[in-house]
Amino acid sequence: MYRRQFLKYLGSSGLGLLLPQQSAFAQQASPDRFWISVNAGGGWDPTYFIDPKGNRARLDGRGPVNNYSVNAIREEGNIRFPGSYPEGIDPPDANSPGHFANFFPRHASRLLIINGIDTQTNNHDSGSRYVWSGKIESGYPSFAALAAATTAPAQPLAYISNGGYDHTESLVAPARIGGGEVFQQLAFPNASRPGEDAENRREYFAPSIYAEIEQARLARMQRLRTQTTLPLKRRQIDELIMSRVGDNNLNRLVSLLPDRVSNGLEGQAEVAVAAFASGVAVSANMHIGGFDTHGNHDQNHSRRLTELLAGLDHLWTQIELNGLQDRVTVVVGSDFGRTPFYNEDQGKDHWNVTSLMMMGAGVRGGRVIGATDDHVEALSINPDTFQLDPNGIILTPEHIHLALRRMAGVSGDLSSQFAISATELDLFS
Amino acid sequence: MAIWKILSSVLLTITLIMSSSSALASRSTLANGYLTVPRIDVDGYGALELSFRLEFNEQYLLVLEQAIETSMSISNSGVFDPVEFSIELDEVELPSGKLYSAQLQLISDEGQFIFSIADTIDLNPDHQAGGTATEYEPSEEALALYDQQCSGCHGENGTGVSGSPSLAACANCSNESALSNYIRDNMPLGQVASCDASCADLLAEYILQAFNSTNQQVSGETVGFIRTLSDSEALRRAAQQLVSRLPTLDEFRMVADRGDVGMREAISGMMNEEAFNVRLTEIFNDYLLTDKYHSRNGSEAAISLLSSDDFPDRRWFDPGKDNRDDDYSARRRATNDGVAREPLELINYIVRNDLPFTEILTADYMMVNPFSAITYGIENLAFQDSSDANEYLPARLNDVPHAGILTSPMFLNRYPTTSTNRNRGRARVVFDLFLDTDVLAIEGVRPGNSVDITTPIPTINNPECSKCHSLIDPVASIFQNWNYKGQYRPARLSKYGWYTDMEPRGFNGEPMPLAGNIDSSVQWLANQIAEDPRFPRAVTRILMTGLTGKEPLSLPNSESSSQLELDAYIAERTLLNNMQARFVNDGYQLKTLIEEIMMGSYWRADGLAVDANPIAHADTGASYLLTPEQLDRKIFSLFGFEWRRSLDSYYKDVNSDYTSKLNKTFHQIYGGIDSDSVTTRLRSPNGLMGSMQLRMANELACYAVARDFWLPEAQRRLFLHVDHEVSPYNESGDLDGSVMASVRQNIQYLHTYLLGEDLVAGAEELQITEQLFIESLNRGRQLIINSGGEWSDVALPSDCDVTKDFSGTDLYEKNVRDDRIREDRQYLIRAWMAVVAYLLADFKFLYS
Repeated sequence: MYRRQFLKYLGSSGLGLLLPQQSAFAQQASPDRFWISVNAGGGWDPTYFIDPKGNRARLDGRGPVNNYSVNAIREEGNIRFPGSYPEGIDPPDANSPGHFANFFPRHASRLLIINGIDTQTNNHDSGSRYVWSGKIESGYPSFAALAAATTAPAQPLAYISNGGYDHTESLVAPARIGGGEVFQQLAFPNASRPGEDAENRREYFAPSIYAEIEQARLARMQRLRTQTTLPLKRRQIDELIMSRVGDNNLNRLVSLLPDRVSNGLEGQAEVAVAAFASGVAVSANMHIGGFDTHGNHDQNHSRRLTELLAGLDHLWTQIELNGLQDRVTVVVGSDFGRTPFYNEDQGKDHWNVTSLMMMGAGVRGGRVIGATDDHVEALSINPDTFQLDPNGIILTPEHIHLALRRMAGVSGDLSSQFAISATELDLFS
Repeated sequence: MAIWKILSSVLLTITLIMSSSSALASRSTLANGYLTVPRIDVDGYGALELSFRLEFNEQYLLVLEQAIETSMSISNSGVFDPVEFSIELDEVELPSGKLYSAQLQLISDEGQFIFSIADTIDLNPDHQAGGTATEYEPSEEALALYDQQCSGCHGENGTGVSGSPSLAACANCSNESALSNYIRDNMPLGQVASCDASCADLLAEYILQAFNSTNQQVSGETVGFIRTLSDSEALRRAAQQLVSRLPTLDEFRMVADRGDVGMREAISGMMNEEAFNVRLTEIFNDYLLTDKYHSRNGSEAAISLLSSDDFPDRRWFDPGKDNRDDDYSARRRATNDGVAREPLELINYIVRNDLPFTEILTADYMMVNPFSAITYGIENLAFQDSSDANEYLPARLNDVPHAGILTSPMFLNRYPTTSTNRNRGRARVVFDLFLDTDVLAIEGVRPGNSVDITTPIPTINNPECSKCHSLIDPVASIFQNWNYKGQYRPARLSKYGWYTDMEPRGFNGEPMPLAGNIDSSVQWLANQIAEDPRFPRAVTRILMTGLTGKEPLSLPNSESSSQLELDAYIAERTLLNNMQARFVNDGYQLKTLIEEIMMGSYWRADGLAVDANPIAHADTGASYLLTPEQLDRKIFSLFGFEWRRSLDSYYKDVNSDYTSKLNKTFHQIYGGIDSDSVTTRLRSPNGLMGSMQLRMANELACYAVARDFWLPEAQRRLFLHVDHEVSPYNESGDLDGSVMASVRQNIQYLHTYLLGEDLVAGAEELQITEQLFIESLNRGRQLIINSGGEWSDVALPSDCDVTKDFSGTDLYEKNVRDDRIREDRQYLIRAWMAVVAYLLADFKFLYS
């Protein structure tokens, strides 16, 4: 039974009022907008790539912010980045799409860099929560969850998560994906050879009998729901029913996946974009860890940044291949920043000031908003012109999320239930 | 009924007959949900101490739980009337200090002895003096003290503010003297000297009278609307949750014969099984998350955290790339997991040996298995089997002041520190996990720019910062002897020392005495936490989450929540406080706490009375989506094999690790955690999980049904009453009555075996399942007829047939034998597959 049929059935049976909580939050919003949050877990170092400082000596004698030359900093349009890597490390392959010299020239025109964001914390949990929910306090859903709840709250796979901050506050259930091959198994649960063509899938049950089984399962759950007097159990049965009756576009998703799904961030990108293109998902968390480089920062961070940027490059390729470049918005961020100096292990510890990268639908690229000083303290900007202004404001995740929410059409109950108060800024257009 | 009959039955039901405590008081006390009567004399039995459990079922009821022989030197608490079956109690003291006399009347002696409260008289001296009952009126002094010392954190009406707990149903509110002592010793946090003993007495009286006088009543009334599982259903749930199996016949008999006492015995027995430790490990890892370093997440994820300077033999198992033998990987895994599981095995060791659970923090040892012992350079341990990676023994590292989990290298690495964080992250986790206190929720305005450059030491001098830092920084400083890698490196011995611009070592406002603790401060902290009333609360939180699938209710927001929501919180909190009190009184025995939770109404909730308010019971119950690990074990316990692949191929990977689909392919999709980047379990199914459930049900039905029919009858699990070659249709094409009776019997059995549903013959649900069976049978037979008996319709799907045994031996040898089941000419096997697939996708199979 498909979801629309099911809803129709519920309406006629008077059960419509008893749907899970998330349905109550259904809002009017564009059904063809998609959102990707890419989390660089552990706290990245913006000065290594999008807020470059170079190796100029600090006045307080604490050593340079970076170990690459100030003269290595290049510009591609308005985007500044180091054209080379610190000496003494094993640099990435010059042909890697994640190499700075390849990534930024290809994507600078669509990139929006927001520097000088104060996360007010150097705690991983709080930082991750703040950057991805817009609130440092607990109890707030990630933006991706809000976007999914706004656009398609009852879509069973509305929010795909590969890790990172994926709290939903029960608005939607995050779906954690492993490798792409499992979709074939899940798209055709009655097939013993799900990877084969339709005529060779070898079903466990003849279609007419399987339809009987499916109908019996659903009817049984509805009977149990009527019989139980515990509200908790009723909610759980509702959730179970909803997880079974969604429009099953998993088979379409499978058809859009590459023959062999990649590993790592690339694989996450392939699954997320296929899920968008098949209408199964609205938002996705992509996640790559390893940025918490308290030791040997230059080498370790370089490797992770290369993986991150190569993954983003692959993500954009997938988005373009599926013709979704005007419908997918990508936000890339991390828990917080890293110290503007090195510790005794040549590592960098936690620092509250960080940056974000954005690209895709609704984002005017080729721009940098916000700034930090030579010691990576956030600088105030004018809320209208975004120019440096000592009397202006310091950017925080609240500002970013207010703008994101406006772009995603988060309003009404959702907006007030998870309210954020800050000056509204027109950051993206 | 003769009193001798009652009491002889009572005496039979008690589990422990012993001399009572030497307390000489004769006053009865009502506390923590129990009425204790020190002495009642009964002809023929002498002096007895009685213990009643207070329940509410549209009226207050007292269930006799224990009758113990007591000393004749204790004065009588009242009189037992053998004619009226009533008990007159001279004085009953309530937690508030109020005194009553009471008359209890026996109203039921079936299975349990239940008394009602027939009458009470208020004996409060103040009331008597005035001649009329009066409401509690706090003194001006008490009000002023509360306003000065308490209201800032706990709110004017005691409901707390963000990050500070409510005083309603508070953890230390079991009685006035305990609360007074706690206030005197601990409050206000950081300013203990400002409230002396008399101040504490006044505040304790005020807090109990003003905010807690009705807790037991609210709790009793709220819980009274809960309808609980039958004993056998509760037993099945307990067995499934604790040891992932069905109850044994002996356990069913225990419960049937001895009710609650039998249930406690059964639970207690289960907690002595090894499978219980597996579950315990999962429950605590969901909070500790130290399985991040298990070999599932990297072959040497744990070993690599150990410094080769400290432990030169950390990779003892590797003879060099060119010299590795076949056992190299197994030894490496056993070593890594011995190191990784050390904190969780400490928990198992303490529970298995009935040690006080506080020892998880105060243990002056760590746990090692035979492999990790070599890594740590620990010799001469008396392992029973030096090749058994699951055998753990306590051990000590030279010159290291162990403090249980707190000094475990895994814990310290899982929650590392930095030169800017200065152990504050570790302190936060200590408060969260072991004191049930979320310091990040403490209210305070974080400055727009967190780098405060105007105050000399913001964390001490800026009140907005010190509000939180005065709490966590002393604990953070306590970890100064352990560096960011979890190595023991006393800070005072380093050239930098410890930070001087940070609060010194201490806890709850009390500075740590340096003498004797200077290099072992974490041990001092462990002992402080062990005595803190928040520790049992924190343990209760972890266990409740593990056993009910959700954390205890949080205090509702006082501004936006209703009285019903507050009542729900108070009701649950009061019951949890009662359980915690028994946990503490029983010497911090974790098994006692688990037993209390499982005997409680919330865990056993199965429904509500018709007039119950759904808001007050929005989250009542312990139903939850089974974790992938639990579902995996449930499948194994019911079928005898894991969900892997066709049983004809099962032998290929039966001995390899982690190949069960629920432990690997679908582990995270089905809400599992890796303890690293995914640390929160999914509790609600999404579309992928729903699809996975369907695939699991279809595949298992396919694998299990023909295989079960193939087994000798004595070994079958699913089909005890039917055979796959006996059709319900006779030669005339009519349903055969006797065969159908067997079919119905087997359907009834499957509902019990797979779903735990004890349905009477002819129940509607059984009829519906029978309809599915018949419908599938008829449709299948028609398919075969329509195709003219084509092999593709007669044959079972190849994954569902039986051509090999579990060891891979072919069941067909030409001219010798053919034990295979490959065809299903009557469609019976597939009709039963439909029934099993229907039941395995059911709510009752997938949820606890």
